[in-house]
Amino acid sequence: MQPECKKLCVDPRLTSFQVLQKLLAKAFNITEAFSVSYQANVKDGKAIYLAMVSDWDVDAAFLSSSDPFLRLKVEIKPFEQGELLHDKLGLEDWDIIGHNDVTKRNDDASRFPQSRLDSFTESISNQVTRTVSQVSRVMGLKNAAIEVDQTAAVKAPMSDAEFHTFLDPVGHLSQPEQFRLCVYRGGIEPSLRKVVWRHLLNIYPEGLNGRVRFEYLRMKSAEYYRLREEWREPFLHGNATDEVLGITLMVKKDVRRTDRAHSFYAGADDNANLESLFNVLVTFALTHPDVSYCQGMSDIASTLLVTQNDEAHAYVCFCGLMRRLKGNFLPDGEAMTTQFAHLTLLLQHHEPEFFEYLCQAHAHGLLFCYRWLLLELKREFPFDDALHMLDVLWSSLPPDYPDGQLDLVDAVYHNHGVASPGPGSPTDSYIATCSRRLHLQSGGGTTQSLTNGINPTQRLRSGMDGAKSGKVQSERAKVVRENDSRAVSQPPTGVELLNGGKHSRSHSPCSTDADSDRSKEADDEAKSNNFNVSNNVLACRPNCTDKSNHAESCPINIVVHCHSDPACGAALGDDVLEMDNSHFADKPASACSLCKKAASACACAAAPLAVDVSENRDENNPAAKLRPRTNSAPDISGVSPQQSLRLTTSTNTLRSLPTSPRRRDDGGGVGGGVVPTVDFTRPAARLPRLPPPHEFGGGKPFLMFLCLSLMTQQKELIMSRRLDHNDIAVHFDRLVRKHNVQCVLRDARSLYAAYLKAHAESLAADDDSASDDLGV
Amino acid sequence: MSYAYLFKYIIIGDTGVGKSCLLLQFTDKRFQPVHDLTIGVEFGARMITIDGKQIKLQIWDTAGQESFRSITRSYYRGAAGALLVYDITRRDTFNHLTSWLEDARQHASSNMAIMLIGNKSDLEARRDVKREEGEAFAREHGLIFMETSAKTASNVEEAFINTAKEIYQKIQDGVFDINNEANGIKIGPQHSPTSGLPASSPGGNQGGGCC
Repeated sequence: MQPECKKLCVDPRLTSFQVLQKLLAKAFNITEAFSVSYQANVKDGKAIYLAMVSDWDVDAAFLSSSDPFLRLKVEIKPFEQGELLHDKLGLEDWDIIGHNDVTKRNDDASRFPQSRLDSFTESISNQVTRTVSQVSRVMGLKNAAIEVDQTAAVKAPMSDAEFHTFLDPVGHLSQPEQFRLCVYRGGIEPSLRKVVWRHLLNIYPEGLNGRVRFEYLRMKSAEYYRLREEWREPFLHGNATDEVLGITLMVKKDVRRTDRAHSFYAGADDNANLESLFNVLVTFALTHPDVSYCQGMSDIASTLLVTQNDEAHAYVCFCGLMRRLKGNFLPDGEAMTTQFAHLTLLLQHHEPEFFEYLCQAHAHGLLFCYRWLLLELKREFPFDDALHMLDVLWSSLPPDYPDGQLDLVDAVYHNHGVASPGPGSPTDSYIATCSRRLHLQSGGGTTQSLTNGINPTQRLRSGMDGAKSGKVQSERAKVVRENDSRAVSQPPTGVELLNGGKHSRSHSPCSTDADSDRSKEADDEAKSNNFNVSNNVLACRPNCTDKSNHAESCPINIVVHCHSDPACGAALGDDVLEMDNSHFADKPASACSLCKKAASACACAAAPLAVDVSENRDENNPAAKLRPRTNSAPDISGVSPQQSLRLTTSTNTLRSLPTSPRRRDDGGGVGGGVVPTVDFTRPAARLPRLPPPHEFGGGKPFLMFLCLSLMTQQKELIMSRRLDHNDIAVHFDRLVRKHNVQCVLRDARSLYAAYLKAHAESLAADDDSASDDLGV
Repeated sequence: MSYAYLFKYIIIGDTGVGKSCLLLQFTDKRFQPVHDLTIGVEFGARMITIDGKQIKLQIWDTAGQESFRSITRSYYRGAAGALLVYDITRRDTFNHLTSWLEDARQHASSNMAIMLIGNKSDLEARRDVKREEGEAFAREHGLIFMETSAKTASNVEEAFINTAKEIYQKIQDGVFDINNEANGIKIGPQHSPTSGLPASSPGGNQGGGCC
């Protein structure tokens, strides 16, 4: 077919990508999705066309056009078909931004200059902070978050252009921590969410380039459809087992009342999206017998399906998310209990007055927070705001790449091939947790028992759960590990990930399990490496000041081959990507000092806030000035106002604080010796320190601060109306989907930054604190 | 708004029988055909008048999923009344009543007033459980029985209020120890157990969240 040619005249200063798209659609009368590429320049008589997907590309196109004309190529062909426009670029991250996504933007007029500015400043800051980001790789993401929060206001959501500043020419996400930090500060433009969430949800192994990611996702989708058909085919033909029938019945009921107000799920019950959600949940339940299906999962999966708009992709994302969230649904109830205990502690630290009120109202069990914690606050905001909140929440966590590939089934299913009933009722966790909360709330509990909510061994165990599950995963990961990376067995699917022979000797500093690993065979070590390295980005922080237990840093080699698919085999044959974090590997001895430097750098970065404090100190009543106040310079160091004053002059004060979790057993268990609530008048002096970030909330520190913000914003109203515990719960139930996401995020960010700052300071000041924090 | 008594209720029954819709109809007088599925427990409250006395009903609406069952067990403690709900269009929800009742008997105060409710009575055409069966079950187990429709609001007020009346009667009969909050009954801030005076306290320091 002869291509149709047209000439258009545009003003480069006024033409954004979106404007250009509209012009093109109009000029060629295109109604469906289309892709645009531009002729960059001519080399050896060959025209090179580059994909144009963002304002950034439009700028580049105008600049690089050597012709008097800018030549564009418009193809009416959705990218989803997997056609790569340009074989040097992995377009997986671009192809999914459909026309519809783009036109949904409602701030067209203002977006262009804003996003240009952002990408400009961001790329500059990337240049400047490249070394810093290497440091923060060791230190964990959070120190960088502090620096940024001290200086920068909340930024605009991440745009296409900005996202691409984090991708290198082959589409490899080059600065994952900085990338997350950027999302943390401003969320993501809705059209980009689909792509970015896949990264935030850790569905990709580390270090894939764009094209391999694309293949990986395709392979995972195929795997999903295979798993789905295992139950669905008999189900549709009336041959379902009792187990399938039971689960489908449950899921169907719930899917029909999940987010039905959203246009995506609206209308009659035969809405195809409902069926997709149903399929995702049933497949997950049957392939994850240890958690199966539990109410609440549909809420979580719903956001993913809306965002991905593809059943298989949503499933893969769901698996990525459930790696982290499944504890919420496990029978032992520990994950929820930990979160409740830490939230209680946080409330005691920040809002002692409010906490005292809640105690008097018998609401200190915080039972009304159950849904918040279980669903990560998804239902507390209007749907679209909830997506924005999830952007920020998920990006607050460091990357946690799957070991090898992301597992789409759990260990039980993997070993037996068929779903079998789990060890206990999935929501025994709920029971376990709530019984404890109820017991407290109904007066059986005491002040002391609240802070005793978890004992040290529990905490330790919860801290190590991640490491354990990591090992389980690594043992069953379908990964071929051989020293010779070329000796690859032919996989049935497109991508195979190899852990090269040069594996690291890293171990998790906080995990005794991991320590014992070192004595095992090297192969075993290799299996757990990827996980440990990624999972403990934060965990290594408290220890890196401990000379005897420093992180031996680690070259991670991931060699990625793409094999069996003939379509891509040729193209990828020479495209062996070798990820080698050898910046640290060749200087293992200096890793520790690097940590220290970063820690002090971090403390310096936090100086502005410290200055405020010391200014206060000059005034007449310093203690009063420093009294914890809502949302401003909060006292999160776990010390009394007087002590926190000293903290600014000598952080060693922390050393003498009653921080040790060992003490938590002193008051006896629930219902033990009654400590009168009068104690709350001087709560800070008796409180244990807040846990370090990797333990806080069971590894969800920012969620704790979001919950705190939600509560503090209602504090005045609750206290002024003197609501009792039921009325408080009713009040919050009525605020479902009505909280103001911007206010909550603003408060939570600032509280969180202050917490991280205090935490970093305490680390810098107290070398020994790390072992205390870990409860060992 | 002050009250003479506060009664704590719990709503139990299989998932999808309309527990949350009954609560919404009672507290808000509206019906939401597609109600969010309940996570854990949700809460409602409303003031009613019995015998000239203001009574605040504090209602805990539980999740019905089988696997959430044990949690509801912890809620029984401290409930004065229970609404045990089934769906007249789904026999399985009726068949499960026995196990719900066992739970309730085992974990609740022995004096808890239990109202058996056959919900969705507006769906007569799809009826799967006869009214007589519900009545027989209630008789056999000493429950009050009523068929309701959260959609049309039929009998919803009555269900909640009749349960309250039964509790109130038990108080009058001295069955309940109203000083023990584990029974799910609380005396209003301005009332003593014996005065029986109507609510007249100033200040309104116990305002209901939804009243």
